[in-house]
Amino acid sequence: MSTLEAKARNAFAVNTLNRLRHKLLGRDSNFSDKDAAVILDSLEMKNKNEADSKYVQYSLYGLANHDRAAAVELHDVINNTLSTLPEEFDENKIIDDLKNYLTNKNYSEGLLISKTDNNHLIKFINYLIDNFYSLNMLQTDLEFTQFKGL
Amino acid sequence: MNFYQEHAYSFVDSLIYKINNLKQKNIPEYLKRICDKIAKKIILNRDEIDDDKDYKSFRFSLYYLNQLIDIFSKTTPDVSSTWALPLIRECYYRIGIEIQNRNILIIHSTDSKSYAVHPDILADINQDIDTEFVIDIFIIPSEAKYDIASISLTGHEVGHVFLNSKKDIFLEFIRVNLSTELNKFYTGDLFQGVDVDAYKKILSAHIEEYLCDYIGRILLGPAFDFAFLKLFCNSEHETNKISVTHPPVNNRINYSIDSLSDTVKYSNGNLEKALKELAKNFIAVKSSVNPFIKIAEDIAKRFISEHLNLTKNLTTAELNNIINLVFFELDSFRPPFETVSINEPHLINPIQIIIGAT
Repeated sequence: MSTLEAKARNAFAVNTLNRLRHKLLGRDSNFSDKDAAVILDSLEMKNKNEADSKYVQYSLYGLANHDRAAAVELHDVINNTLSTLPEEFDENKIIDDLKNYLTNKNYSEGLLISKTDNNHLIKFINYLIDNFYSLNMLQTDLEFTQFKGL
Repeated sequence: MNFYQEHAYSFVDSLIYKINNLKQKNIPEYLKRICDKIAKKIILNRDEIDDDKDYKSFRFSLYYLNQLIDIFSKTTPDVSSTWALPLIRECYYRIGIEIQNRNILIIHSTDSKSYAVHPDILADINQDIDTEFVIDIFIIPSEAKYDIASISLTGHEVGHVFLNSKKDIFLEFIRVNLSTELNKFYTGDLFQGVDVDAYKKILSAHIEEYLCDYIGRILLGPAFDFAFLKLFCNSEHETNKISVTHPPVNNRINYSIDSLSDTVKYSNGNLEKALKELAKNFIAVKSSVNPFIKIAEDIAKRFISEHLNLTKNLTTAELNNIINLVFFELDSFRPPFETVSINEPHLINPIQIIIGAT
């Protein structure tokens, strides 16, 4: 996969998360069904067998639809984030809450989950965005890895 | 203006500066319009930054757009090769790639060691900046300037563009076929314990590469195989490694040797002699017999017979006709786009030129 494609996927994944965050915060957000599908795809990839064919298709260079392929990048960061979440989070519950919120299309009808759950989801999304940033943006581009950096 | 917007200013300004520099160049109008849309979009997004998370997601978009503009800056539409652009267009036409609204930009690179393509480079931002254009970017290494025969390798890159344009059909085909073929292994004892899933991603990439080789071969005939073998003359034939992205070099070499042997068998003696010389380099080359590699090859062959209309190799008569057209023009020190003699001129198209010259 080209570095450009990887950057495009990451940008799409982070922007999707950010649109969801705005939605959960009750701000104006154009979070769409398509965004929800990307996040749901990435959550389903936890189950290897179900996700396998999607994972393969999205991983192919120059062929995947980049917006859906962002699910692959999101999947990796979600796994990474879940393993480092503070104790206040119940890993299974946060994933179930997120799945329910997206599957039932609660985002299109305003806030339908409890305020506590809502705040937990926002915190979790914040962790995801921060993790994305530290995993990808604070690294030096591959072509400059031979240079001495900061 | 909040703190984060203030922070984003420097990044945005540097990108706007790059975009303005690019627009000063002699680039096509459609590219200027795309640049304007990108500039407008990033200024709008910068003004919508509210907090650190907005800032972070904005940086991701900027990071991507920055590389995109860098790539556009490296293209040279004003000095594009007299050979490459018409050749690529003819390949598109022959393979059936829709050329309306499809634009080709070329990077004549001094950095890249090999030919490459980025099909539909705007696919990632189309929904954000609302453009109807499709742009394919080809990288042509500087050796093409001195070895025109090597340009046949663009046939393989055109294959990537073709598969990109048919990606829904292609992805569905390999999904179904790969699962069916690999499931056969699950039932036997032979591969018990092998993580077959891990192979799916690799084999999908291999199938794509085999297909692109095939498309290059069909488009440019023996010229493609010659350039291909020349490229691999100095590779490590003994190791026969299986890469994550490409099939074993040995298998690809043998396909080219077979194809070239078929083509020159019936042509004049000089070509056969030349092939024998070339083949001496590859005496030790043995194709990989790994069963997974065989699966990739079989699926690629099945896709060719079911989904590619262009499946006919050049006949000997066609090949001889091409050679007769081009041969006498080779000393003219100009791209031979027509025959010049006391007779009426005949147009020579780019594919004929490359095959004849090779």
